[in-house]
Amino acid sequence: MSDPAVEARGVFKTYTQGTEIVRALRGIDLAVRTGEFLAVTGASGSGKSTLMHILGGLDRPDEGDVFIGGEAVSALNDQELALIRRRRLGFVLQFFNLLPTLSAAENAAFPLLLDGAADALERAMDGLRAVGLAQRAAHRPAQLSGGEQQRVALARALVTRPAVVFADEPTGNLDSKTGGEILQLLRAAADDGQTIVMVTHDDRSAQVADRSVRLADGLLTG
Amino acid sequence: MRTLAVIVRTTNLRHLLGHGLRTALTTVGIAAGVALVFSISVINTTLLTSFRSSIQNLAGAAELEVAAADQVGIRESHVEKIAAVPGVERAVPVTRSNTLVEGPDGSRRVMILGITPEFVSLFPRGLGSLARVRVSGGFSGPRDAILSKQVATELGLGDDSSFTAETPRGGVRLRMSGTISGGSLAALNGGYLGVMLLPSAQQVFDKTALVDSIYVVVDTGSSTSDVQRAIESIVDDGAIVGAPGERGDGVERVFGGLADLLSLAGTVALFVALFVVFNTMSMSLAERRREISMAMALGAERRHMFGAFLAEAGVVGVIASACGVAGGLLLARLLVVRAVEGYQLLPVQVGGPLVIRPSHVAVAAISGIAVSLLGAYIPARRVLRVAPIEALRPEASYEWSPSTSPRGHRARAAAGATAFAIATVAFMATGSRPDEGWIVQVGLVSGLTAVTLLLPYVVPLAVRILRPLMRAGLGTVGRLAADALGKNPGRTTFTVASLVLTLGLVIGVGSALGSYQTQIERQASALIGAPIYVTARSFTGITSDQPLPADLGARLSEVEGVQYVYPLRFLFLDVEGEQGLMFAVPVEEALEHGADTHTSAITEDPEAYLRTLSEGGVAVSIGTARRHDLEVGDRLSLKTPDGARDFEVGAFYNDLVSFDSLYIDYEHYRQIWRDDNVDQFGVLIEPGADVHGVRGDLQTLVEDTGAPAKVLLKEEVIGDLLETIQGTFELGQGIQLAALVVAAITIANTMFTAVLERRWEMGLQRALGMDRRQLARSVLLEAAAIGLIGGIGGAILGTASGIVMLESMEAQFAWNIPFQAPVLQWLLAVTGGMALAAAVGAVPSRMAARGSIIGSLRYE
Repeated sequence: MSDPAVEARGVFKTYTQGTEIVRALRGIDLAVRTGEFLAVTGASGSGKSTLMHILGGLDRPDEGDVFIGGEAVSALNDQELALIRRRRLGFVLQFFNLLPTLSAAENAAFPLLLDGAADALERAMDGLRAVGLAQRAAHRPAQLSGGEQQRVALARALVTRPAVVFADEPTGNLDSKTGGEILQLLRAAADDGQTIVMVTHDDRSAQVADRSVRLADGLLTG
Repeated sequence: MRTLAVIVRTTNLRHLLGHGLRTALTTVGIAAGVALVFSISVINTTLLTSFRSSIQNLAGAAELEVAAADQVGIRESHVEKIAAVPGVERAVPVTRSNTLVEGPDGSRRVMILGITPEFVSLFPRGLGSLARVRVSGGFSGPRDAILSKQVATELGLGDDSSFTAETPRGGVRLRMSGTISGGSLAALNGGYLGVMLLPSAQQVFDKTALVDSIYVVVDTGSSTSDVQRAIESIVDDGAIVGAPGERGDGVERVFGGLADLLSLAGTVALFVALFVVFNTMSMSLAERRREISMAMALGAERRHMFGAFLAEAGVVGVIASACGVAGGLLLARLLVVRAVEGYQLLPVQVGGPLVIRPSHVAVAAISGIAVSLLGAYIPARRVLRVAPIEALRPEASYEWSPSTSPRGHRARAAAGATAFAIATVAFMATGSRPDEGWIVQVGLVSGLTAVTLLLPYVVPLAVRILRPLMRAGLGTVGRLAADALGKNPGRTTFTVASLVLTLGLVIGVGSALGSYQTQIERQASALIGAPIYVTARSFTGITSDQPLPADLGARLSEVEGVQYVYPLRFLFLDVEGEQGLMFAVPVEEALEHGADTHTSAITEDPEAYLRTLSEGGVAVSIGTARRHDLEVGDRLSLKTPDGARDFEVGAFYNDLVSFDSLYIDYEHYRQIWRDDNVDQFGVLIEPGADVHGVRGDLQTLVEDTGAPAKVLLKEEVIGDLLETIQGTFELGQGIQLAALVVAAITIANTMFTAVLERRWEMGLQRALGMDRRQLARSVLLEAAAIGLIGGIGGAILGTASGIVMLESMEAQFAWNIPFQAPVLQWLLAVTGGMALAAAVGAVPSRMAARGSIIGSLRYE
């Protein structure tokens, strides 16, 4: 059997908030299969965003390890981790998803541009076409609606054909109709074989995923 | 008021403390500007006070001073005649000799007074009561001198020890027979003072039967003006008769011009500090928009919030002003010695405490607080215009700089054009009102305002030009850096403006000075016609404290290989109440003996120039002619030992000093002024003689005779002259450097705030795979781009201001100086601007690269 696309083994994470010590993750073991669409649900403060950050190489665990395509994140330095994020991972965040001075096409092409790919903008245009925004390619984020911005973010997350796309409350800032459209796009990507990890507090959004896990007080409960 | 106090205490002050680095940078920016303004005014006042004290404190109770109109002196025989004038109670003669004194621990320029026992009577209640001066020892021999304790300590001299004083006859050994200290001595020539009995001083310093001043105490009940008129009628050698200190007025006017120039640099630094505050407050307020809105949503009034921000700025201003005054004191202490060396025109030394007036502290403190309040005013108003509900959006705290309305644009452009017009008028007016320093300041502030108001139109244009170039040449990282510049045009503009203004100042002064020096070098090369010069060791490039005796010339002529030796005398004198410099030179004689002198370099009519001198007339500088309204053929009255005498003005020449100057034939001068002293001997050598060999022989002769002279080649004389001129501007250059430091702080401030402002953006970039090096490079490139635009702008502004300065010099001093394009300075401005920006951008770029991605992506 092949390695999971991303896997957490015995992950602990603690941080302090003011004088309070928050045990955000308390021994998480989780494997996401290649091509799987996983929803991580939980109440606010349950640790789901922290888990996504650690799985996505944005933060490091205090204990345990994360494996992306079988490669241990703990063995990677910052430079290598940046390359992993650029080439093998994609992100869709809740707020401030796009760089304000770049056009929609440039935003979508950003990871490829960082790599100096000659066909970056062409590939980004393909991505924008796929999310129905080719006609808005030259627009700046400020000229796009919230839903359009999230679609551009999705196009960007998919542009490198990454091993895993992480989506952190991708519909949290949108109305239900627009949010539904975004979920459908994520579903379509998963149907094409894309591995997706989506963090959401909304159980209805989670229904679009192949599998759901629930976090409560830093522990997986289901 | 209570609400305001609560808001200030609970939010504003905590914000200042919570952002220590930013608060510190802002404070340092303002403090640096305040320090410059304060130190410049303290230095200038200290020097002037020292100069005035040296003149006025010596006068004691004397109502009048009869002073020599030149450096030669007045006849001592006048003392008796003046004492006999009805209404004169006492006439007390004094000589003043500035000389190099050497002791075991070093050497120092010291003013040695030659006094009579009557001198003490100038101070009716005794020296001690008036000036709390303590005297120990006395005079028992002709080589005895009492030195100030300061001189004795610095030079390692004890009672009865001997020291060497430089005199026209060479070094003379004198005995320290006592010390004086205390009271206002420190202000008298900076405490570098010595006293000898008058006959001894006259003999030692070659002033036989001459004195420099005669102090006159008028009988109680007699009219001082009547006595003054009576003395004027009997003093036939044209001395200056007036209140003590009047003789220094001309020098003070010259000094005032130099001091005004220095003040300009301080004004620029304060102006740049304004940008630091504007930048910081803009960022700080933008960051707190949610907090402000929350407070307003909860009932705080707009005026309270506005007042609280001004109070916050006021607190920063007060702290910065206090730090600036303290720093300025330190700077003044460090620079005052350089200033003394720079102002070679001012016969003054400074060694005592700095003179600090309450007005200096008040002006510096008010400037610092005003700059802080003004810098905060505009951003505070703008932020408070936003509706609370609008600012409460989560992303609102990251937004900045609402667009300006077309009406605002028009108003700004009109204000810029008006400021430019005022600056132009003010600079043009400086020519006709050279004594009005405030006009230059108004011109400068208007010019700076014009540049600041008009730059917002220029900088975005430059960014638009730069962006595609950066994108094409530096890829995505370059593109992001260029975008960052355009993202906040207001801040970019102000940062660029600070660099443009300071580099403009540096290049402007530098190019004007460079052109001036080139012209001096050109003129000196043309006029300095002998291959070797024997020069008084104390020669400053203008005149010498201890000139050489004329008979040295004859001995120099005997050296093998020497064909001809001619004397040169340069001395200060009074030209119809103005400070003047007289060059007594035997031009025709030197030319006849083969001197390589080209008078065409300074005058359009060399024949008239030579003819005038040979016929006993004078050639005056164009500036002198303009100031005294002289035409060729007019007569100029000069004070000579035989009274006022008219000289025919036969020619004009182009001179490069800021005061009056004139040429006279040396032989005529020697006969009329009965002065055999010489500042320099020009030495012409025989054809085929080895110049270095002759120089060596001359050096040996000078050493053998003990004459206080040095032997220099023509190139070295020119080099010394240029060095003297360079020295005059060194203080200004030091201050320009300090202004550049303020600009560097502005850039650092901007880069820090830019990094803070774009934290989430940078977090996103890193989340998407940008590595630390790419991120750091983009911040550095942004800084470098600011440096590049600032450098180019500075080069353009500097060149323009350099041309304006030369035009202003032409108008003010009648200097005709061709402008030299400062190519090297252009290159330095552009590369230096980028290097400076990149250097100060290094820390924020590292900060950006090392920041936590998660922390940056947090929404609040």
